[in-house]
Amino acid sequence: MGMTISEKILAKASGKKKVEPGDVIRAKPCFSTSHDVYTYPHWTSRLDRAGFKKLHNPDRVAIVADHFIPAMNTTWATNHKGLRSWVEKFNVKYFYYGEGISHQIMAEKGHALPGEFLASDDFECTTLGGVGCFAAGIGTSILETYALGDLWMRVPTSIKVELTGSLKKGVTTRDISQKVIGDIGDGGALYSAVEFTGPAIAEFSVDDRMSLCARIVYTGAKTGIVNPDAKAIEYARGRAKAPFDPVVSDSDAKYLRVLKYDLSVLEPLLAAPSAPVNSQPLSKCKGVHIDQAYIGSCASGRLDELRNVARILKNRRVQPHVKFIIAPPSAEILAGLSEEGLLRTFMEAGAILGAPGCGACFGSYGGVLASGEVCISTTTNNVPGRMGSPEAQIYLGSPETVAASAIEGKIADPREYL
Amino acid sequence: MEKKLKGTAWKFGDNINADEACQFYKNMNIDLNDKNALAKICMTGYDPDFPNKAKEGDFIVGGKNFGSGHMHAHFYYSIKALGIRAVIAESVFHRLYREAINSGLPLIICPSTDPIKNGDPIEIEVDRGIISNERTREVIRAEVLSPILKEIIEQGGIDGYIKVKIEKL
Repeated sequence: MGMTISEKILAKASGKKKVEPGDVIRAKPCFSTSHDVYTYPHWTSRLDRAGFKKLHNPDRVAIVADHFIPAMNTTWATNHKGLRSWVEKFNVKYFYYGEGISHQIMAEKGHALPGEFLASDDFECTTLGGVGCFAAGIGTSILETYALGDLWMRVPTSIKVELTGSLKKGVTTRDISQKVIGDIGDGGALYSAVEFTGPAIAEFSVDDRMSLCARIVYTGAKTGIVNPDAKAIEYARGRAKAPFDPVVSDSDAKYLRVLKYDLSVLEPLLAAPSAPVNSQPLSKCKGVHIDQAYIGSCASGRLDELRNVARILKNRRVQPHVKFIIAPPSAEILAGLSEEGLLRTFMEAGAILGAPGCGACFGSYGGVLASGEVCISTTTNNVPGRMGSPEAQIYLGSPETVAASAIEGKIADPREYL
Repeated sequence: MEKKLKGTAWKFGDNINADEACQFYKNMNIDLNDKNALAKICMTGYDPDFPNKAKEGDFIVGGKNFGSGHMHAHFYYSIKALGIRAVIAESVFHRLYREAINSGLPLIICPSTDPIKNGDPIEIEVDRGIISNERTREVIRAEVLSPILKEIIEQGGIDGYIKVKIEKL
């Protein structure tokens, strides 16, 4: 019996020839990463109390300040100051302040690598499955990796999602991901790796694949992953901060379930209030009045997608009552927007530019919602309170759908603009 | 950890949402070191009187997908703070699986929790993965905890575990 890509990566990481779903192993990540929310002072003080003297391998640690940048208040200015001293004291090799969201930076800067294991303290890191990396949100086990270099992992079962056919214009990998998340449902993929496969994958850029793997955690999945091909390897080659070995699933690997989708019949979808798994066809939500439209987060807003957004916004202006915010997931993406002249299109359309970071996705700042407001957003989660007031409503969709909605001031279909 | 745990079972259903269970958005300002305040919010989203009914050493029994959603630490901290000794469930959301183990809370996973009714006196032999219902005399076979995870639970969680390992480095 063959192995899935996830099993192969975890076998390698634990120095074993073979692992099976359900096995509990100690695995060594290629890189470990944590962000500003918990690293300082939460993780660092817990490490202190455990007698921590040095990072097990400071060359394989990347710390990202992405949630509260630039410092939103004195508490966070102080925490960031402390974080910087900690990074210096323990010789952390990679520290990114305000360069983007961790789950984007780890790909762009070559920490999430095809066929390798990345451990993050944030469970949304599944986005990185788009480069063929097994990226797992491991919460407090970040303390193990920092102190000891390895952590416990339970080998997940795998669910195969087979994609055939081509997406129609205006339908995106974000819509595929919404379809899959809705179909699997809350808890439907508990402790599984969701592996996206099939002939359709070859057409997708790495950016597209990242949007495909994002948010899969809301099904209870451990991660989402795409087998790396020449495109993924090419993406990683120029950036890799460590050697990598791009393994792929065997043809006789075992899957718990196989789901098949013909992409040519897929329509744009939204996650309607108030759960990420609450998939609704865009056509059913069309016309809902919106107060805010937000493009950003680790789930969407990469360059390929923003080029489409620019096509929609070109020579148009968003409705005056709509707060339209674009917060690119990284500084590299922002630089790309600038080089390609897309920023001008966005500004002329009436967009507010957010800093490259997590922004309003988690409701702290940069586009927080008031009670009774309705937002359409490309962020990750739409539970009550996620982007501000618990009495606000959040619809989640593709960047194209959000842009079209901003123009109309109500939920709109991007296919009419492309 | 004792070989045998004894206590009363408090039964909850499938898909217990972690944030709803501890009413996170109402209680998010409670400090994670404030055990008294945390104990008072444990499972109150589903049973407002739960912290008064449950005794130290009791068990929470869930069904499928226990602890789902975008879990915050208040959920499992409140369970620990109330003195709940173990969680029995058919399956748990993966974040809770890790965080329960890492906070030293044994998770007992078994194929069905149907034979356990609310208020049943239960005994758990953690090492052998055996749950005995002392009311019905029924025995449920649960997953045996891996030695890797037992080692962490025995140190009271991940902080204690790394402390011991760091000392040996």
